[in-house]
Amino acid sequence: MNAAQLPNLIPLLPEFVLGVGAMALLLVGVFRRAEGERFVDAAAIVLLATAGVIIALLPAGKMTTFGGSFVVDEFARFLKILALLGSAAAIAMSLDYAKHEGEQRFEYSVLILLSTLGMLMLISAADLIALYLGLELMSLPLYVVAASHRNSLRSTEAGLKYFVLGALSSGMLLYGASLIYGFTGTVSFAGIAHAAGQGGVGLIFGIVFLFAGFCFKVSAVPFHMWTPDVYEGAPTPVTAFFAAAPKVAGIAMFVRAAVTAFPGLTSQWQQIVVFVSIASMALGSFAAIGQRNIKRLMAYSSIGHMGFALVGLAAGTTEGVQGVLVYVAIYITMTLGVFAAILSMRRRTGMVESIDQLAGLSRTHPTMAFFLAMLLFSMAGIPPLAGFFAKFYVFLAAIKAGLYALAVLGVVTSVVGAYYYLYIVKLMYFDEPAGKFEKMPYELRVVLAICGLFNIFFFVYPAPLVGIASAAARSLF
Amino acid sequence: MTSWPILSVVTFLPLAGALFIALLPEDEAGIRNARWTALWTTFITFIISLILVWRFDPTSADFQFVEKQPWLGGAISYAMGVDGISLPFVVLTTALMPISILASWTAIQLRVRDYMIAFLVLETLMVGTFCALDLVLFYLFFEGGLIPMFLIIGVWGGPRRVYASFKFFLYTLLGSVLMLLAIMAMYWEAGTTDIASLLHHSFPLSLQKWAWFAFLASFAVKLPMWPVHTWLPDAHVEAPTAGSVILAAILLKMGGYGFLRFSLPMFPDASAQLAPLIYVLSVVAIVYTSLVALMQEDMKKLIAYSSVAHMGFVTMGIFAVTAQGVAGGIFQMVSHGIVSAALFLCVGIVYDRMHTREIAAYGGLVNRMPLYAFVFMVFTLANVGLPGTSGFVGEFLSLIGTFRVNTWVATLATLGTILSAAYALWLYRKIIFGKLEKPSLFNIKDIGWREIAIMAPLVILTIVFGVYPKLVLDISSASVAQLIDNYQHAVGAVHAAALAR
Amino acid sequence: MVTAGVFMVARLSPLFSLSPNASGFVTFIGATTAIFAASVALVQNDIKRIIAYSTCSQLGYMFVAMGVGAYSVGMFHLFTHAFFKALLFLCSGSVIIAMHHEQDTRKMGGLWRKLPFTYATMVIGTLALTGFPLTAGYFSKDAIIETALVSNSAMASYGFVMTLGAAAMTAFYSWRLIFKTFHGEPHDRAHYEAAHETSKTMLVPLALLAVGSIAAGYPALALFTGHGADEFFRQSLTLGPAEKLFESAENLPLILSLLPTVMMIGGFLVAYQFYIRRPDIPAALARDQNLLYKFLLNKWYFDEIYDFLFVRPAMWLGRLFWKGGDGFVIDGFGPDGVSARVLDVTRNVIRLQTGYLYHYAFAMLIGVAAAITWFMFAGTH
Repeated sequence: MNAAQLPNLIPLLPEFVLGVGAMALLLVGVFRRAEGERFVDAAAIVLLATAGVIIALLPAGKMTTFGGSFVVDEFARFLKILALLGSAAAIAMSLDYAKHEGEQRFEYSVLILLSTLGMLMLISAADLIALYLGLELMSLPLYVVAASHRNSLRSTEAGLKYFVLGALSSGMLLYGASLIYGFTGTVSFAGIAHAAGQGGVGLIFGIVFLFAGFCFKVSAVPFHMWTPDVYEGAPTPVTAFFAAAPKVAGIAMFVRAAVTAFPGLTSQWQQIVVFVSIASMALGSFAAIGQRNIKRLMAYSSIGHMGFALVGLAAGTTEGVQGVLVYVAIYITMTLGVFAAILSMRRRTGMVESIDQLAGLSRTHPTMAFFLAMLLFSMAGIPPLAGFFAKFYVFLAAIKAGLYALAVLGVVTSVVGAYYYLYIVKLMYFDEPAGKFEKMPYELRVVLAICGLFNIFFFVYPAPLVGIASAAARSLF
Repeated sequence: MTSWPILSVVTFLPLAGALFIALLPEDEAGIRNARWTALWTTFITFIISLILVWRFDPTSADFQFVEKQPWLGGAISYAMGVDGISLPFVVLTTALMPISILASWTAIQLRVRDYMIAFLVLETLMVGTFCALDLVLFYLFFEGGLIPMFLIIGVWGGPRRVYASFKFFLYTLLGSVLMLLAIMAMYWEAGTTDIASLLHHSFPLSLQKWAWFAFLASFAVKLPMWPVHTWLPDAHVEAPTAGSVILAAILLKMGGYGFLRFSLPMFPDASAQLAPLIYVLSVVAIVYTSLVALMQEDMKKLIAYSSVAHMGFVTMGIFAVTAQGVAGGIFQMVSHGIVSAALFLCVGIVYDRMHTREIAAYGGLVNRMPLYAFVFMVFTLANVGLPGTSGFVGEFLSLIGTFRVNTWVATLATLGTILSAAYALWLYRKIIFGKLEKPSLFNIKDIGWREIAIMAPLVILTIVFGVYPKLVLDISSASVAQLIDNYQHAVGAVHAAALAR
Repeated sequence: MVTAGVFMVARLSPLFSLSPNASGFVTFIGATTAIFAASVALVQNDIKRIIAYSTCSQLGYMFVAMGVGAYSVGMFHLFTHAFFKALLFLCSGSVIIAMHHEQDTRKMGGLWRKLPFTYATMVIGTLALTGFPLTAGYFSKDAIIETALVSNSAMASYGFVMTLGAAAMTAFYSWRLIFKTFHGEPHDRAHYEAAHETSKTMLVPLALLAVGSIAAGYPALALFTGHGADEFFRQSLTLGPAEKLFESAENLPLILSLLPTVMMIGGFLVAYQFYIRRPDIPAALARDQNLLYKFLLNKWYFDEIYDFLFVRPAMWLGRLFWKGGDGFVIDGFGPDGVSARVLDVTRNVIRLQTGYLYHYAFAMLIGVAAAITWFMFAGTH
């Protein structure tokens, strides 16, 4: 093919960097073996940062390439940077763990890089094939890292469950995509929107299957059942990663597809999202009560949070998408911060995962307990922490869109859910200490501090994030 | 007006103090410094709030000392200001905080720094609630106060503190999130969350009704009104003394303030239609909780139930929407703030000595603690509403104001006054009068200098406000008059419109 | 201090005079009080209690006067009563101190020799209380009884009969008190020997009050009743209806205006019989009429009735509302109940997470199937 037909590769620069970098690091790792591991980890973080910088420096405005299947708009920029942040933090947080558990493998960072590459593709995907491509590229490394503790039964089980169910959901998604293609004659979102018209049962069926795939990725009820087992079984840094970056990409995929591909059918797919959202918020609140394993508790918590984020999508308006974006951004900070604390729960005998181990933390590790408490209150949505603003914006959109029942159920479930966050705070502050943890590693302290401070002081200057989210939302419509 | 943002200073100075304390070391000197820092911070905040009173223009019903900065974008801004309705509460808060810190001086020995930090953060949030002139900002401060209070009850409280703190937190949270939704609906309808503008906006009746109920859910739990009052006895009993003081004196008043700032002026038609509901709840609250108070065995629980009864007078007076009723409601809140704070401090004084709150464990204290008996008497009488104490003015005005609108309600509410005399005097007699027979009490000491320093200002205020209530009533009169005026206009307008159809 | 209520009714005389029902109620209460308190005082043993019930009874008199519209007459009795009642209380205080804080009259007796001055002043006070002619009490008390007589309403007649009866009882119990305390044989020899008159600081006020008990009557008569009242009270009391009463009272036949005095004498004679000449009669009478005696001794069982009607039910209600209301209903269906239900839901929801892969896959398929079904039948409009 001649130069004129080569698609514009400028928008793909970040992905390009990541892809080439991942390959290079793979080679480095193979050849350098054990001494190369530290280098690979550090280089991976640098690569992710570089990709982020490139994204920020890309020319403003909407860029499409590959015949419209790859788009870089404000929406994509915002979420890509979030995903990169999540991945970078996940790698950083795994460094100490890997050292202690002796599971240092360079492949881990490379797999994270590749998964992130998939996420970036997914976020920019503007047609069904590109979406599927990005989704699979993102997911396959995830299955592998979930099972990366080869000697752990739980990890293997987690990886296997994730893989099997992930394959099932991919199949459903693909089936839905094919139905949609069948009923509209095109795979590009813009084209589908054009051809969708008033819908039709067949198209709706396709949407249902497609959304089923989306919900799986996002851990929304009733496609969430993999989440508790996989989160609990996977090694903790992997869980931290699962809870952060893939959710960003999943939400991006969900929102972009729903809003750009089916704008005329909002009243139809809205019903699915409303139901899924209510169910997720409810399950996330009720099922987490009484969980003793903190990773499992965080799994249910993330199901709940995704439910809240989807409230914004259910509104289907610009404000709704803005709410989703604000929610996801703040969710990332909350989750990464909490997982930083979880990864610090190490005693001389090894990692501990029971929440009772956090008893009396305010007396043994006051600063850690304080930040963790603030993050927990933020997750519960209590002002003046950032989590409140996250919920504020999604419910604001829901009220404007007239989804009153959804809003009421949402806030009520958030009160129910507040219980277990409070319970952990109670353990930390009201109970007798269960003993000191090992010294908190430097990277974890940094992550916890940054996330904690962000959540605490967000109320002082919230305008930038809200403004960017608003611009990003508008770019979709 | 002042050239500097005085309200922000009054609001955030305690927070600055808290940050300073957080940097202090954990040793003996650090603890001592923490106490003194907290005391000085709260005291200076109080002095600054007095500047507010001094420079306040009581003839104007507008918001004064207004500050406004863009915040969340759109029409949600950081707006602060006070008028005749909020100023008394601001000063009440700043005045009671140094007293609470003093009261905790020796009572709190564990984790003193954390305690002081929690209190200072709480003060910031409480003052902010009363000064906020933006709905979202108000909500932020209003709800934010839950976190420090939860920690105060749960860390430094009594045996059932975990149950009490959770109950308090979740109960209040549930009511408030519904209010949040109403705030959002109001924002979309009016296009702004600026309170000053919203006061002149007239909402459609259907929205008014829903919003009124949502706000009621929040304020009724906060106040508390019957039947959502059951968190209060538990929270009060289990909280440490100073925690109970702040809870009773300030946090409860946020509910009443909310009714005055939002439910009445922004939803006048809904208020007018639903006032009978409030009357019924108020009367039930007064009679029911007074009867329950009669049967209590724990001093703090008795005073807690008595608080609910007094708040019944407040809601009754407010929703009568007459000049006396509203002024009476405000005055009753200020007076109750002082009196119930003092009563809890009195309980705290004997608790510090005997470590029990059971009424049966005491008796004949007058023989060894005559000064304490005097102080306790003043506040018991104020609780009963004896003329000459501040308790009388508030109750009397509320009753008069309500009598003009609904004689039955006022008559039934007056029953409550009789009952309050019954339980208050009964408590006093059981504890103070009689012979000193229990061996455990033989060596009990009378109140010392620190305790006198805490109680003396409260005694003086109770009596001064009782004989010269103008001090408080003058501040609020212009704002109250405008509130009623606007309310009558709004309700009258709806009637006229209905008739014209 | 006790007379604040009387003062309030007088102050509100314009309001009361507008409502015959309210005024009639006042008369009724006053008359009933007069006879009630007097009857209770007949059998009490504590010296101060007798005088206390006497006060209560005299207040009833004042209310009767207020009720029939003769506000100034009521105020007159208020004025004179202050003198002799204060005198009686201080005298009894003197007795009590002399008897080393003994207040029971059954332990006293024959004290006139030991406490002559107290005795004398107390007799003066008693004379005034019972309405002995020319004492202050005579004028004010008789004025009340007369105005009740001439006032023409059923309630006023009731008031007249009751006050008359109470006058007899007043004389009886007052002289009973004097006789039991100062006359007869001492019942407590030890205390009796040690008794002596108190210091001058106590005796001077007694003397002053004794003077007042006599002198405060006649000079003030014209100011409070009759034609001087207008000048004296001006606008502070409503005098209209009373003026007619004063005129009628002046024109009463002698026998009627002497009735109170007759009652007084009768009461004195009976007391003399019971406590000086035949001291065994009271005890015998108490035994024979035990029920009546108990009824009067226990103050018509008012305290017990109040306890039964008000205090017990209030406490029962309080407990009911506390345990039953707050505890069972409100907390049970509210916070505690809701949290228990939440935990129920939680327990059941957790069971869904079985751990089996095929269950999870099945759930996903069910989800999709349900959505499809929904859209087939409900959603696509």
